[in-house]
Amino acid sequence: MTQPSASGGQTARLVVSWVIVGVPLVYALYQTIKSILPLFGG
Amino acid sequence: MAALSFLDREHTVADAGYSRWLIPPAALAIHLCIGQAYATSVYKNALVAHFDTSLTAIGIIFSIAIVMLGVSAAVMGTWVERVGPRAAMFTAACFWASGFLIASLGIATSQLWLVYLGYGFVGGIGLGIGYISPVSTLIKWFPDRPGLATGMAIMGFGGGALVASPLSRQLMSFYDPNYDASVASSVASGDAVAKLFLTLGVAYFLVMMLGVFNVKVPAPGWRPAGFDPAKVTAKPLVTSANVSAANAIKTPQFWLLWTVLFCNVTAGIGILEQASPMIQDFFRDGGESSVATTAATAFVGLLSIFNMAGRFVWSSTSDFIGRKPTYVMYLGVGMVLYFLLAVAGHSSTAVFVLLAAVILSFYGGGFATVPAYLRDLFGTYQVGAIHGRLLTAWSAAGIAGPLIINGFLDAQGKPGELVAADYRPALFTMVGVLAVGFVANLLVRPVAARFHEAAGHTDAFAEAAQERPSTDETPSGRR
Repeated sequence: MTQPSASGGQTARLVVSWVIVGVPLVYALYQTIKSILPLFGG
Repeated sequence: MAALSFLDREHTVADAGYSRWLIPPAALAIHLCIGQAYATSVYKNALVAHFDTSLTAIGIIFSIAIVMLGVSAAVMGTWVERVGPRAAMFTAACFWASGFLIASLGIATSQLWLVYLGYGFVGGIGLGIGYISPVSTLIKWFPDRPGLATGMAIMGFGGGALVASPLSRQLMSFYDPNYDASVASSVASGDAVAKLFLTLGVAYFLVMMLGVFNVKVPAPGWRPAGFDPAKVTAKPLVTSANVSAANAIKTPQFWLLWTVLFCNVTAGIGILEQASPMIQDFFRDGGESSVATTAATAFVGLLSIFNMAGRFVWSSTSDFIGRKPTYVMYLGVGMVLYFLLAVAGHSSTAVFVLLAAVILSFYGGGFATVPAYLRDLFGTYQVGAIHGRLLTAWSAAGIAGPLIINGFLDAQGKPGELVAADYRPALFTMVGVLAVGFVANLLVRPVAARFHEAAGHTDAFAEAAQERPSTDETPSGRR
């Protein structure tokens, strides 16, 4: 058994799922990079 | 119970066409939440002031949680394999969220023992179950790229602290207008921390439910398009056989890997634990450090990014170069980097930061690559449970790493007066620790056939379902 292509509903579910975990990660990276600027004289 | 029927096997096995790319965000949803455990420093001072106690007394909360992580991952591993990832993630969410709620009550009523019980004991059980819950499922969905799959999930654990730190500061500012997160000496009120815990408990439960409802196991016989199992098992050290968790701990391979993980984590924790004062001490001249406190704090943030990135990058790379060579790099190149840090780290901040950042990326990579290494050696049958038992190396390293570095530094002088040369004995010791791990990794060979399960023992979750009375063929029909 192999994996057929994703349906439209599943594509939406994929996008929502990745956004829910991706947004906090991007927020965290932004906040951390902002905080490390002093290390480089920023 | 009908309300919990969504945890049944019939709802956990994926239909044909279910995208396997829904599984990594499910795993990330769990790991991003439980990764908060490494962000406790944000409210540590607030709890010290609220309970009018010592840093040590507050530090015990974290220690209990990490001990419970190791204990529950080791003890509950086979249960996690038996009930499947959905029930395990749901249980982890209940424990993790309940831990926050009980701790919130403890803070609100000024009873520290409730915080120990809640966040430490109850939350710690959620940590352990949550950490291992997606591992074997990811490996089953990504037989072609197990390192990539587990790397993504375990990267989430590193990312969890990065998310929780700024989020907690902002929430405490919201709940306590007198608290200024930008001022190092500012401390939030106990009331604000209690509300923070309440908010985090509810929010983490909801996010973890995303994982619960998205995670599914592949149907028996499923494989990704174009995947040829023969190509994977043709690689050195990759088995097509399966070993149970009970048998795995009887093999030398398990204890060699335990040693590898212990050494890699011990060395990494040594730097991580001391990062902020260490960079100041390395560039101290005449009592004054040329690195400001704000820059030292920023250095810790930079290491966290490399720790997180290493989990994904190196674990994914291991799918191509093999697990054993990857650990040769972590431990072998790590030895060289520690040596260079000891003898040349003080030459410039750029050199120091670069060396420490790569070391921390190897530290994170060591965590993320080990589930795939276990899969290579022991098969998929109970890989999550074996991983749970292996995590006791993490707990042990959490004690050994700080003991080594603090022991040497205490003998060299007082905090605030140390210089780069004072770190050399500790760093050279870490080179020795890594050398032990390096040799242990080189000694890893395929597991002897006498430990293999009989043919057909490939899926602990499916076997457990066959042993249980069927829920979909009851006299009243399907539920």
